[in-house]
Amino acid sequence: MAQPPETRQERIRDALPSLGFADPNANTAWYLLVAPKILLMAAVLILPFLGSVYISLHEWTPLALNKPFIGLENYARLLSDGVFHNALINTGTYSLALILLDVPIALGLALLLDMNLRGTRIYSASIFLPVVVSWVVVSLIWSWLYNPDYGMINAFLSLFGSEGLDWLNSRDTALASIIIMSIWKHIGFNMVIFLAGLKGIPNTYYEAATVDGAGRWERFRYITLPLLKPTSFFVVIVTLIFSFRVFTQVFVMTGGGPVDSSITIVYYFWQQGFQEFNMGYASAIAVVLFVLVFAFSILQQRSWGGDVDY
Amino acid sequence: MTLTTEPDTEGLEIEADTTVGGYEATQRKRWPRYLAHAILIIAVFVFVSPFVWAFFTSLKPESEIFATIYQIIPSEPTAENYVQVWNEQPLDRWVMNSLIISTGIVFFTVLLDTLAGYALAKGRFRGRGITLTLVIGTLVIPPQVVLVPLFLEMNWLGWGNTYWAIMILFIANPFGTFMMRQFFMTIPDSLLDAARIDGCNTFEIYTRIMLPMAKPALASLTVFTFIFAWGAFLWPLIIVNDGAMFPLQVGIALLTGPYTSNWGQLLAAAIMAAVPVLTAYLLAQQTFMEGIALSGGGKGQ
Amino acid sequence: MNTPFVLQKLGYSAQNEPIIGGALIFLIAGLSIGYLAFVRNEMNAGIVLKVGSVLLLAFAALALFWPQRPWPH
Repeated sequence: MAQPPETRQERIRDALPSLGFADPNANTAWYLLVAPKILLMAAVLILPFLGSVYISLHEWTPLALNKPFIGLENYARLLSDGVFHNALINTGTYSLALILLDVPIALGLALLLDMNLRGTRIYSASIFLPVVVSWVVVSLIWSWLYNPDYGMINAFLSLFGSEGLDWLNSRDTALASIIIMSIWKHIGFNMVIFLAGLKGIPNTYYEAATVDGAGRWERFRYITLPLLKPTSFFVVIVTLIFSFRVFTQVFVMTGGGPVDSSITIVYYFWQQGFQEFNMGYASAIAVVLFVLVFAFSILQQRSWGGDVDY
Repeated sequence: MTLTTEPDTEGLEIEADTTVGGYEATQRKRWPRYLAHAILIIAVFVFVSPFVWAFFTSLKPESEIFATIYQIIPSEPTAENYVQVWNEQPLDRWVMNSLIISTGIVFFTVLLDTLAGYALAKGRFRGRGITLTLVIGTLVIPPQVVLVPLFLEMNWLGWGNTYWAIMILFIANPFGTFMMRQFFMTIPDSLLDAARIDGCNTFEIYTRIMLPMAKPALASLTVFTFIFAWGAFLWPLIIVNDGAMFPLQVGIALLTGPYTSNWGQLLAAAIMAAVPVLTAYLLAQQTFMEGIALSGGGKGQ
Repeated sequence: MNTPFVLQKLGYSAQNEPIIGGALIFLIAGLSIGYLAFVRNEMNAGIVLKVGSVLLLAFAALALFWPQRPWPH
């Protein structure tokens, strides 16, 4: 039975309107907790997402008086836009390169670090260092490294008698240069996640396998790899999703050039939307980006994520 | 969880087979260790040397930078590049802007995400299912899709060039909510029921139980969000055109205009921009790595 | 009091102005963390949170009294 309010505090508490905080089943309190985040999400992400689709169906320049509805015309233009094709191919290449190069090397480094050698702390700190530094800073530093006449990379190559490449200034090597730098920067990130996954595999499995006569390679193939599957799935999908959004390094290092040879989807989006202010067209690009990433994620989930539960 | 454990002493090879992370290391097979060390040492060189080179270059006077490429260490180190960039560009204001933006993003993200994560994990209320679906669904939306309408929205509000406009996009990110929810679900209900019996209300449970127990997840979310916020580029580039309000990244990226081939100064600016994060990293390197590992590796286990 | 206008004014600081919006953010963050670290003992706040809250308040002061550095060029 409830006691009559004795202390002043209790009397004040009774007088105030209760927002349902005391009752775990009252809706109000929970709504209050959830509301700020949900409202913000709606206003900043969900509504603008729908807005993007809407705008992509119009010819939309912010200062224009008239913003006519043109249906799917922007998308039709994209289909025949050579620059956009370049952007698609470049972004796809970039993403593929990261998945095929970054991920395995990161796994390899993680395996080496998992051996618990002396000095592991220094090793892991060094490999992870580029992850912590921002893309802009790394892009500036690598732009200098790639300098054909005075950069360290060509200097290093010249020690072996090579003439060095044009790196960022040549149509053939610009994208590759960006890819190499991006792999360098990102590898530590994947390595750390792999390492955490490796640490989660109990030693007893390895010991049992050794007793059964399994060699190093067999242990890796039949214990490590399968048990690492959820981690690998996670690493690949995160690498995929984030690699499709590549922008900063392109902006700082090449500006999409030379001659659009290193242009990417998001860079083209930015160019169209905020340099040329063709916002309808840019929105169409953005929607295509969404569809692509969404499709790839589903594809990966279907083909690979069978027994991965979130 | 720690990512590094004490290394085995390599001198005790004489004894019976030692196990190193699942790999046997008998006295006969020491070469894998040497090979591993060799590879890792090369890795250290590869990952650290660009920073060292950039740093040395920034200490060279202009004449020396373009004289020869073989002189790595500056013959007469000078701070003139740093002084010049500092005097010509409002780097201090840009750093302050980045600090403000990052602090705001981290604080409000953690606040909103823990509140909402708590509600979604332990709350019983009508519409919880729908809300959860909404959060998970929003995870799929890449931020770039949102930028054009958001730009229009912010300008319509008159918030162009403000801190709020920059921050708001990142605070709305549902990733943290999802992560906190996953974490809070691991807290046993019995604990909460006991607290209720003791007379705690919903909000008190939040501050007295949820938050203290969530410290590792909070640290991880903080680190993750901070790195993300500090490196934010595209959105601030779009919404801010006043030089006084640039975050650090945008400010120095745009220096390539006025300083095109002035590498000494560009690199000095880059190094100065990297110093805050580098110091934090050197002081708390373990926290950084564990922050990423817990956010990602946690799912893998 | 026109709230949107005040918010807008707070969010922007021109070249040599004291950064009021920034100071506000630091203040809120610093006070909240400080409350959690010093008042709420259940948090078992380590030195990081305690030093952090003090640091944030220091930054608030810095932003408010932002030195009037003559704007470059």
